Amino acid sequence: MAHSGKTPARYGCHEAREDAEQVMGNRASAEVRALFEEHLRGCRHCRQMNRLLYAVYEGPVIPPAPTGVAEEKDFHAALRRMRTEKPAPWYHTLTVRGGIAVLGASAAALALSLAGVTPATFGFGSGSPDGTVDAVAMGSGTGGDVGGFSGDTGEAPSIKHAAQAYGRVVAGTAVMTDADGDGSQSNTFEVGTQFEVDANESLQIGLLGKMVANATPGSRVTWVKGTASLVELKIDEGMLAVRYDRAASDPILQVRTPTAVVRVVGTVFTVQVEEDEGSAVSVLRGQVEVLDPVTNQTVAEVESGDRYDVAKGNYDTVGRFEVQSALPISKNASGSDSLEARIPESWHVPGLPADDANRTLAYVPERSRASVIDGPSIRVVGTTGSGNGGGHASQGHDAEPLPVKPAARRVENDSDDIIADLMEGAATARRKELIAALRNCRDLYASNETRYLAATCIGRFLKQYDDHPLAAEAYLLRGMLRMDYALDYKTAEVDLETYLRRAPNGRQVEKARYRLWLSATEDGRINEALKRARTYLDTYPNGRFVGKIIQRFPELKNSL
Amino acid sequence: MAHQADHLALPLQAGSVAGGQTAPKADASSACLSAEERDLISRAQAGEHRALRQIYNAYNAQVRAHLYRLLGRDCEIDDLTQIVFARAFNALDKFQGNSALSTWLYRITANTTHNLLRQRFRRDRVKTALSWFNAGREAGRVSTSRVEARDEAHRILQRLQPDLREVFVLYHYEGLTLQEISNILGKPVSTVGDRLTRARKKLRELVAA
Repeated sequence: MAHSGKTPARYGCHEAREDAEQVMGNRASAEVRALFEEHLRGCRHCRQMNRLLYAVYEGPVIPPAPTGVAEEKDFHAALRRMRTEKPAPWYHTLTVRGGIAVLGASAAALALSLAGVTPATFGFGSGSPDGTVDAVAMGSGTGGDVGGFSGDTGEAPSIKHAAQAYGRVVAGTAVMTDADGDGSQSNTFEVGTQFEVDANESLQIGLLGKMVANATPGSRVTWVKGTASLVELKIDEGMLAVRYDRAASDPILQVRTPTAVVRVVGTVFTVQVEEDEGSAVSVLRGQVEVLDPVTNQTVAEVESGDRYDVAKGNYDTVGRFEVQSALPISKNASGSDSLEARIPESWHVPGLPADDANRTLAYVPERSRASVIDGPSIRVVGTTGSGNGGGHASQGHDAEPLPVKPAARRVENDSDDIIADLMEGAATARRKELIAALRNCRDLYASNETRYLAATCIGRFLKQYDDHPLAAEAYLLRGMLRMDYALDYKTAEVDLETYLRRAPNGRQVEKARYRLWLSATEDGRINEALKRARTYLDTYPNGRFVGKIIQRFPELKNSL
Repeated sequence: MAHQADHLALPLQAGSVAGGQTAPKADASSACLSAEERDLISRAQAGEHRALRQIYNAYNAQVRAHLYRLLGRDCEIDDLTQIVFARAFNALDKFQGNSALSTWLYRITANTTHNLLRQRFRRDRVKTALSWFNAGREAGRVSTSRVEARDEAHRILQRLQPDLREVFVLYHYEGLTLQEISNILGKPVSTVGDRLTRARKKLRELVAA
């Protein structure tokens, strides 16, 4: 301290600089402070210096930390780093010999690559079946884990190409309005499309090749956003169920209601909005966050088995209604063959018997109806989910008077005719058993609520009648169903290729080729999709699906 | 059932960090952590995603602000924040509870940024000196506004040697005690005190220059 206890005879710039820090820290005596301030009044340079020193000690103004989606992404990025930055075991630091071995292996790999042999030849690596390098497919695997960050294979966003940024009507009837307010009857749609689902029939749609949604009769749903980082759906009325097995590189899914934003952290949840605009969120698998739509702040985290009422701020358990709503578009993680009307093991449904045979809707405890749906007062119920199983989204509440919607237009559905062909062929073959089996499949296929079960039915049919000429067409149908409901593109392609192999001159060959292209596109294998698109356009320059291919790959227009 | 959306009220303020103790002792863990924190950490150590999120939510602002104060406006702050938390989550098993979680995170932040600060300081020494010279030539003619003073203060701080800057930031900006800084940096209190004095002196010189 330069002047403790004493006042100097002359208080100049040197003294003022010595005392500046003490004055700022309120540690200087009143006398020193007075001298300091007096000096500053008369010395412009010291004033400037003092201001600067004050700014140094004050520190920078800290920008606010990211919130909402940005915060979510940062957190998951930290978790990904956590896995990649796991410290190596101590013995790794000592493996000089190991290093030499790696060098040797690298040299061998280099030599092999120069010789034109790819690692895929040896069964490691994940090259495309045709050997083409497909960077876009990286990171597009389905994680299916809580938190949605398992199965992460890379940092690259899994939606890279504009051709993927479309949705597709899988089945059902709705009035579709595009972003410009124009009506549409195509089964392919873009961001901004609004759906007013028919009052008597549900609608099933696929988005970005990554999620499949079921809108119950009378729903009004809008696809608001679809980018590599965020997919947003808005529910104004009715109910929506979405299955989304999100991998780390996949976009975040948000479902917006008038009073809440529900963000997918896990994979299976339901959203319900009541007439008074109160929302309720239920989770069947994984975890979701409920955000305030205005501030974007987290209101609640809801875990599997729980139902959260946003307005009341309290929790309950999920009930039959929520399970029922999510079942139609669910699938078992073990594969599309297990598309059954069973509640997936991965779903947490409190009160459900542990016995596998009893994991059906009938055993799900029904919550008091009032807590689920207050009679006709419920206007909007949204459900998003992923998992497996089946159910009837519109059943169980069919006594509720649903809002009357304008006359719906049936959207194009490219699989309707196949089962009719199968039936026709079976009739001519006069095979009673076969007809009965097909009829069962047809009944399942006829309803949007049970159509996903037709894949299993067709699978059983194929097991029994695989040697029958009709079986080839059944492969096509099963491939399409697997693609639409299970989003299991690789398995679907095996079926489609089987069809093409067994019926090279069949009536549906063009459709099978189109579906093969669509599968690669929605799966994000753009190189492969382009190759298949060219093959299709070369074979069918005036084909039924040319418009759809050009819509997603406008650059191919010149090749026509 | 994990229902509550509320995050635990973890100490976010530097002033609330358990301070003033001597070197951490194993049996002092209960003094540093509340029962809630201990529960949170044990759940996080078991890999519970929700607990990790709670830790992240509670300390994200602290880590980010500290990085900002050390590095200034920097495009790598997001990355560094993620790295700090990734390292913290990986090291949770080793966290004994001998210090507050916030102190432990300061330590990880310091370890993460130490080499970076030194590299940058060496790399930018000439560039900073040149810009400092140019700024000094104009300083006499332009009156310093509040915003300009802040920018200037940032430049001055960047000229401080990394070792001195770390101590200055932890003491003056984060409000930690010398003992806490000593624990974080793993240096004796006398060294920390000496660095703080040198930092102040150097800053005075830089401001006066």
